[in-house]
Amino acid sequence: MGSLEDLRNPGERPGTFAMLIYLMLGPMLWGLHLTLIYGANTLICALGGGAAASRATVITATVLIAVPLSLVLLIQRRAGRLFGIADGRAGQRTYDAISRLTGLLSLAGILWAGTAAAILSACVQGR
Amino acid sequence: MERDLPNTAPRPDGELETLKRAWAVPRGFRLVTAVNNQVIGILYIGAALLFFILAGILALIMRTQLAVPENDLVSQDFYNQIFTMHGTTMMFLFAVPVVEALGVMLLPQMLAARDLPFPRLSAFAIWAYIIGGLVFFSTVFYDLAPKGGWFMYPPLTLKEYSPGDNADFWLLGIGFIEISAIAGAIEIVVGTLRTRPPGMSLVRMPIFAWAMLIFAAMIMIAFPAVILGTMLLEIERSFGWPFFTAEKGGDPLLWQHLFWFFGHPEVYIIFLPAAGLVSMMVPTMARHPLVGYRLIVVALIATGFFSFGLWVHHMFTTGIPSLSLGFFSAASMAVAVPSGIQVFSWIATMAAGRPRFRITTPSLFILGFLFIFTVGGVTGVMVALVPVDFQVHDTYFVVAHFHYVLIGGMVFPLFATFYYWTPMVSRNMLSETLGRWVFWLMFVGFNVSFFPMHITGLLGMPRRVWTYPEGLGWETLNMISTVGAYVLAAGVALFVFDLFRRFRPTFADSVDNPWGAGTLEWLPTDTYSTRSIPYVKSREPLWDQPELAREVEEGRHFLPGAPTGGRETIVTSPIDARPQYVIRMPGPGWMPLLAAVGMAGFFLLLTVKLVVPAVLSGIVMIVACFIWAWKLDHGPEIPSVEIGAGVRLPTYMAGPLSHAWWAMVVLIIVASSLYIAYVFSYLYLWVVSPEVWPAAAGVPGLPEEAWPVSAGVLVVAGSALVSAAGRLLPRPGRGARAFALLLGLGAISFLAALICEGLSHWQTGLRPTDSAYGAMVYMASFLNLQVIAACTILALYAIARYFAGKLDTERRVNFDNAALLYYYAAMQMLLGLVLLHGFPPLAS
Amino acid sequence: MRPGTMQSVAMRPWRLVGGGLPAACCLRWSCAALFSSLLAAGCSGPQSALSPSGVEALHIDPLFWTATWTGVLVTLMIVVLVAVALYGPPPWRAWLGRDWIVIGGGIVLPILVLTGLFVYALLVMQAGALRSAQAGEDTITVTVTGKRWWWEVTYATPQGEPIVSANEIRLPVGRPVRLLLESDNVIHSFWAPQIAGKLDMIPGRTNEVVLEATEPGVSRGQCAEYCGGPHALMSFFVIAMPEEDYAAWLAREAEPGAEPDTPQAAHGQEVFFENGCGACHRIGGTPAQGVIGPDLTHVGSRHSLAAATLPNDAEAFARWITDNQHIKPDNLMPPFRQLSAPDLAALAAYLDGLE
Repeated sequence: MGSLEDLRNPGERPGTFAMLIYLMLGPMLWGLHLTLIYGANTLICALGGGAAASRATVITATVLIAVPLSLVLLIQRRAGRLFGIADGRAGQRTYDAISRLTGLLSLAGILWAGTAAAILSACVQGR
Repeated sequence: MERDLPNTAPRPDGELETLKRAWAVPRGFRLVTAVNNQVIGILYIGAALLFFILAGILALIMRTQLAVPENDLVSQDFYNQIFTMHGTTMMFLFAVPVVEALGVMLLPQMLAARDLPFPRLSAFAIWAYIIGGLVFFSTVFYDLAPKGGWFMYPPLTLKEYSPGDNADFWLLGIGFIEISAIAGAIEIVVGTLRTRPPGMSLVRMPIFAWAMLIFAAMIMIAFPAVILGTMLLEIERSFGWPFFTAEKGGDPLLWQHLFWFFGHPEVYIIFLPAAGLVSMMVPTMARHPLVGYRLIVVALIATGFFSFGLWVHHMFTTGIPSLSLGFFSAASMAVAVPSGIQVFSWIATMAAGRPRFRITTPSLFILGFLFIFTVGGVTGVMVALVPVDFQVHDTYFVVAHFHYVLIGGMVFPLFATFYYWTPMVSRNMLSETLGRWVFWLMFVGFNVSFFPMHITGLLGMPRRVWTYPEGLGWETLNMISTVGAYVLAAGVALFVFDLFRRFRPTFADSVDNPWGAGTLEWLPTDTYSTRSIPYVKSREPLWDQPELAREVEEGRHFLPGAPTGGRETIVTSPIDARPQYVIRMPGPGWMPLLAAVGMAGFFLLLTVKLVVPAVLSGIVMIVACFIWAWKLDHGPEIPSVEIGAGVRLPTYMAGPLSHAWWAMVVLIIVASSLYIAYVFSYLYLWVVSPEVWPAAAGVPGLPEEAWPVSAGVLVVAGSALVSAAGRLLPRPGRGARAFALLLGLGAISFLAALICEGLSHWQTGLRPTDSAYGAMVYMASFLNLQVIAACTILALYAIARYFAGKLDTERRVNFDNAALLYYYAAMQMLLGLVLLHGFPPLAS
Repeated sequence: MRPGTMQSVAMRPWRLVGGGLPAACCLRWSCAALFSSLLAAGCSGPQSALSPSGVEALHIDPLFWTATWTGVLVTLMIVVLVAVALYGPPPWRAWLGRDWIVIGGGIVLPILVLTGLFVYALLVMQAGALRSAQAGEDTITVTVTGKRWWWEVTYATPQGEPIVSANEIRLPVGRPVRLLLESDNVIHSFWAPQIAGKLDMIPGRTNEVVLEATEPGVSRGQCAEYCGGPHALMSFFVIAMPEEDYAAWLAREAEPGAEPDTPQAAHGQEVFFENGCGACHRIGGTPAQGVIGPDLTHVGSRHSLAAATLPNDAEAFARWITDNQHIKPDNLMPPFRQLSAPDLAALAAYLDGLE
């Protein structure tokens, strides 16, 4: 925001909701990923779907979420415009950086969870 | 730079007097009616400190008991009570309340708001907490204290294994904290997003405000899980609905999922605000802006999310399949990274100190915190490694770990906070000389007490043992721990002594920015906070605008008076902080206190099975709330006021911009989290025990389709009626009877849907005590009942307001909020119908 | 103090078999270097996770030490960096006071270190899963049921007949034993630190863990999940024995209880039945068939009484029978104070003789 004059306009674009989603896109995808893999793994094992199916589901979900997230991280600015986050807002670079870094940390979390599926057997207590 | 000031004209006579009159603090015994954040903030912090000391005394008793093997200083039963009380009190009556209290105390000051947006809600929450907390804690004197451990695992806490009211008192005590935590979350979300000073965009917000925002968001998601859990547990204890009983298809692990889905984020709920405080103090002591502000924001957001993916790491040894453990171990790794970011950011800021980082008492506590928290973080990574946890889980290693995290991560920053912010509210600073003694006693005592526990745990000592045999190699270590505990206690005692000696609360003549900090809470203040609300252009306005304090005090900034004659503050837009309207806030009143007493009476009397007095008490609460709410909605009687810089703002706002609407949205998010936790529980129990679900032998079938269809139609019709009522709101000064009729019909329609759904299952012969399935089915109706009851009260209130001529197309907040909750209720009920009637055929 | 209510040093049974065993850990330079000043007693101890003598515990041990050393290095690094930040020469401080240090130290470094530790931990977990999967038909299966506040242990004869015992686990060295962990009351947790990590016993579930002792010896275990009342006094002994000894022991354990071999013991047997002890306790080969309390068929041969709370001798039996509510408050056995001194001595002698 530049000056006092600016303050006279009470409206702001984009809205709060779009901005919050933009800042938290990565963590939300991480949450979706954890819900999906935990739910799918539990359900497939409980219904007797077999370890292979469970593991494949988890790895697929990981790839399906990690790849788009990586792409978003690469084209942060353009992705921002999708949310109506225009350039030129005061502090825009800070918002972009926050969005990119939360995405990066989430990517690490997603890949770690995927690693677990790559190494561990599914549907066993393993003790 | 004069032209950049919002108000350049000389201030009119009498403006300051009006402002003072509006914000006058009640005197004498009427002080209990105060609602201003500066008054109740001190009360809140004081109460939390009291519980810290009480729970600390319990810890000393435990340490004395464990000093030598085979000690019989206290009995087994008493020990089991005091370790339960120590954990519960520290977590629920000290840690969460004290950070909320700091939010209440500091946030409005940091944001230069005159108060939090819902002052009476704060007051209510605080009184509920104080009354509930004191009653709960006093059970330890009457052999009535709970003894199931602070996480109260069933079946141990079911009626069969815990007869008596002890466990009920736990559930009761937690109930109060749940209510006050949620009330606090509403305050803080709306406060940080909507009452910032003009120009303070999100990325100029002090880190503490970021931390509190994330804190509040986490409460909104985490607390509902434990609210549901405590409801289920109390219902099973009182009425035998078998949620946790394995023979009837329940599962003890359901409690653990619900509890830890709350309990793990809880640790970060406590830690994040403390870290936020550290991020405020370090730059001041370094006289340099925080290095990596945006990285800290990233860390806070990431921690907020990742902490919800860790709950199973308290359940690594329950026999959950190893791959699931792997997922949660991964999340536990992920949550370690943001803590690393924060630690390095603080170190970098210290290094950037000009000329050097100052060593004051707050600095010492921060340095102590850095060391202790690093050790706690490191052992946190160790317990997050599943195989290591197989060994150390539930041992003194874990006791050591979480005390390093909680005392290191929260209590040390808290003491730094006391030393740092006391001058903001007191005539004197606390003693720097004694402060050093306090620090060294606490730091040495803490490490001597808790470091050996890592080893005691590795040598095989489980937690929660009231005694232990000799010959296992634990004796020396336990004795060292006990000595350390007394040294730590001596440090706390010295602090309390200093507090009594030096702390003199005041509004106007507090110490003037003694540390040379850069944020707004160090502006000169009085009961009304700052004379005018500053126009903010940077993260450290006091550093970047050296004249700011003088300008603010001279009324050169926004809202320099009280144009409506009452209490008010500016509401700004959530991202850029553009002024939107002026909120008119209530002043002192008896009703929040009376409502809190009524609520406390209701729950307490119910716990000891005195139903009639309990109901009377509940009525007192509802009446108090009605009276309290009646005067809140001023309506647009003063259309708009000038706040400076040519900005004219309305004094009344309805719809999505209003703070009331935001509060309702927060409440709806809480309700949805609760319902999602319920849906999880339903599906979870089905996965565990499909044999008690319909289509299995001996289980009553589902009701005919006509039943859920009727219920669904009633819900949709109810929503349509509420919506239509909204269109028929009269214009100001007019009447339109149809409004009351339609809203009333809508309310009845929802009630009918509720009854229809309950009846549909009853007529199939299904009873809640039959099985976990039956219990879950009726639990859905119970949850709907709660929301519908709230809706009905709001609808009746709206109708009453309408007949009083206080509800129309402009003055419509009461209706809008009722309608919003009704639409939510409709969605919840429809989702419930789909789940309860659609899922079982699918599953079989 | 409550002198002598628990295992006293003089009768610690691990002295008998495993004398040299726990010391192994302390010879590790790592342990000694880290804790030597603090730890006069060393890392050993009959219940120490740092003296592994079972396959799972031996797999966890190096992971634990790797994580510990990583942690020590991280802590030292933080301490040094803070010292530099506070007192370092200005150029060093300028170097440290920048954004990149936060990204490098706060993001890159943790991700690398944590990835390493995490993958190592997953490999240890997977090794456990493979061990468990490979434990085939020759695996011995033992059911351990958590009671309030003791352990019921059910072995099987080679023919599959159940053999019920209590409060100690016998393991043949080098042979995997699959434990089925159950509870019919509250949640308990089975933990024998020298052998393996813990696993909970949860009503409605059966958890499985495969134990394999690597050397003969006696160690101690304890309930790790708070289970109310005398949770602190719910322990057990693990006796790892050579395989042929184990077979012989199992055969003995399958036999009915020993007949009293002295007149006093014979009188004790009468006292046992007259006082209705058989309603709760079982003694194989006699009419006593109770299943509420521990099976006493071979109680005299066990290492302890009352879930590793008392030594196992006639005097302890006598004290337990009359004074158990002081020794182990709130346990579910009523005290039998009405017994006369000779009756009590006879009963104790009989029980002590059930070897």
